[in-house]
Amino acid sequence: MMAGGLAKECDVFTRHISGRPAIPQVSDQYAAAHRVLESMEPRDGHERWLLRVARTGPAACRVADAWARLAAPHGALRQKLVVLLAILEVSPPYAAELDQPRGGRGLEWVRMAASGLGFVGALALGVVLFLPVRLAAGRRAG
Amino acid sequence: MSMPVTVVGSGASGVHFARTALALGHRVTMVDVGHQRPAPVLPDADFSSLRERLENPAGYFLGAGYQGVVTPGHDREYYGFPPGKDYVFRAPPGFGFSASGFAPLFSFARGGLAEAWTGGCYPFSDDDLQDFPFDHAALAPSYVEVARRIGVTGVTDDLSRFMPVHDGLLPPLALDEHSAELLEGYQRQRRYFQRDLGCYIGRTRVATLSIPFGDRQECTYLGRCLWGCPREALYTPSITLRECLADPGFTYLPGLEVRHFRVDSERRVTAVVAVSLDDGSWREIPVERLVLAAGTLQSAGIVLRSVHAATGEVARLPGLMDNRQVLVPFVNLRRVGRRYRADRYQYHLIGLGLAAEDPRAHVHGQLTTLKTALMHPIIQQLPFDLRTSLGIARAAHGALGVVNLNFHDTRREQNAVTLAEEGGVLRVAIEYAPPADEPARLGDAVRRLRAALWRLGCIVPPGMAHMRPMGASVHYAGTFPMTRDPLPWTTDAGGRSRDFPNLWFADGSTFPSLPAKNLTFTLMANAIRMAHQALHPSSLSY
Repeated sequence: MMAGGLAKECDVFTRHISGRPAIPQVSDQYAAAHRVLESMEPRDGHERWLLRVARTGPAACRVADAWARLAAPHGALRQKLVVLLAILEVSPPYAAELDQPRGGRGLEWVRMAASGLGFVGALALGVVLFLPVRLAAGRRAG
Repeated sequence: MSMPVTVVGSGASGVHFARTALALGHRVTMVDVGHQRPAPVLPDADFSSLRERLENPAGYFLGAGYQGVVTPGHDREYYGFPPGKDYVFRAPPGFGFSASGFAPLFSFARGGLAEAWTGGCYPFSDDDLQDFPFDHAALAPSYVEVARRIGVTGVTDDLSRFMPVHDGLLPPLALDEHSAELLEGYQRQRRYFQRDLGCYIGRTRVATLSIPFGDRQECTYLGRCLWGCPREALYTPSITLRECLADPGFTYLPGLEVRHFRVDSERRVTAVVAVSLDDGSWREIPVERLVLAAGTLQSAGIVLRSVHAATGEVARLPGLMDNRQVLVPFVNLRRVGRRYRADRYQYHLIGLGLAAEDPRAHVHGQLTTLKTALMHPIIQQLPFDLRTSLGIARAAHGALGVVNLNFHDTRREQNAVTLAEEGGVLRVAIEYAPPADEPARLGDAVRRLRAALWRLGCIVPPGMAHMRPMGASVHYAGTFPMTRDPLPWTTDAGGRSRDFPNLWFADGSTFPSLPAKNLTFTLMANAIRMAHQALHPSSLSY
């Protein structure tokens, strides 16, 4: 993928993970990681489709990620997202925001419950969007 | 009477053997590959300000090759080795091995594998030493001597039933809030834990300074333990190597990988043969007395290659041991949503012992509360998308911990080190199979641990307990055991080879069994005990 494409991808994925846009240092690190790490390229049509949807925006990325966690946990999308998460957790200004609770204990439980519901919704959409492609790919391979 | 002694390897055993020999007035030559630790970065910065002040924080925390990233599908480890410790595991050119059922780690660093240890110092008890040709009383003075050299913090508490208390303990390190709460919870329910679960909890003993010690500084809780203590408050053997280097009787030969030794017609070792890392040339170094302290696997490789060079025979050394480890992560529900403090000691501050009917089979655990550890290895394993997982991890960060359970091992015939040809080169080959009763033992311990954690208000997320591969604990031992009977491929109680009269083993090779404990503290103590025995005037003729 071209550098500009990777920077855009990084920005979308960063918004999905942290809710903030990617700063240039993070984009640079993300691109550098792609130069040295293996397993960052999709291996089949299903993974390519996941990536294509994920790149369209943070909300779509969440849907693709929720589905990928179950259906392609070691695939290219999850590899990219985990590498980006590792970069964000050591990079100011994201680092401090990512590793401490933001509110009181009660509020955190509410946040987690809401987030869990968001995951269920994202997964349901993911099933609709990706399961047919997955089944079709499996049939072709079979 | 001063004798020249040649020591191979600068790990925990080698440096303490050397330092003892120097103190006894002998001359020591140490042959070593000796990869060096890089200078600490911003040594006075604490963890939080380090992230802010570094020009390239990702390069420091993750490495130029992103080797500190634990990507999905990589053995489900909860920690990646930090890039700052890459030097510990860097192999010389051409190095290789084959292994079945075992994932070994090798070190060629100054200070060896203990450059990457977590400082646990656990003396062997009489129960642990049942298979050894000596008891705890014979080793006790050496434990005190090690504590005097390296600085060990600890207290007498409920774990003392598993770990004999010795003189010279420094005051314990400050507890972080989470560890303190867990320890208080245990103390409130002590009777239940001990009677119903056979579970004992107390402070770990660690080689990290709580007060200034000699010319070393105490821990100031920078929160950087995982990336290498920049203040040397956490002891590593390279500190003792530096002390040896200041002794005029010490000669250090770095950049040399000892491949084998030569013997004369009476099987006396006459020289070690080493390859230079600088130019690949071979160098022969004459020896009077040879002490192998290169670590169990590498010492075995040196002997096996020597036998092959002399006779053409490929020998097999049975009895390889290692501690099986199981990582059990937990969430303390009472702490969810609470903030944690990064300016605390990062490794284990409390430990636990699970008693067994046979006291040799007790299980030892180290309990680490998570603070500045990288979180992506854990976050990615939660069964949600990363945004949801991150939200949960953020709320739960101050509530997370991991127990590292250690299980004992015994010498068994099928677990061995030998040589195998690969591309025309003879390489160390390792075979290991766990004992048949292992699943039952592990299952029982994890069940008891879950019950103990539950009583402390913690849950173990389903499916997240992780059995590490054999070899991961790096507590290798058993290939040249100390025995009372003079059998081939064994040593006497002083570590002297029964096959080569002027060869000693100072590393874990000589352990006839392996309790469920980090063996490093005992490696150091045993090396001191062996040095006194090997260099005693009565032993100077052979």
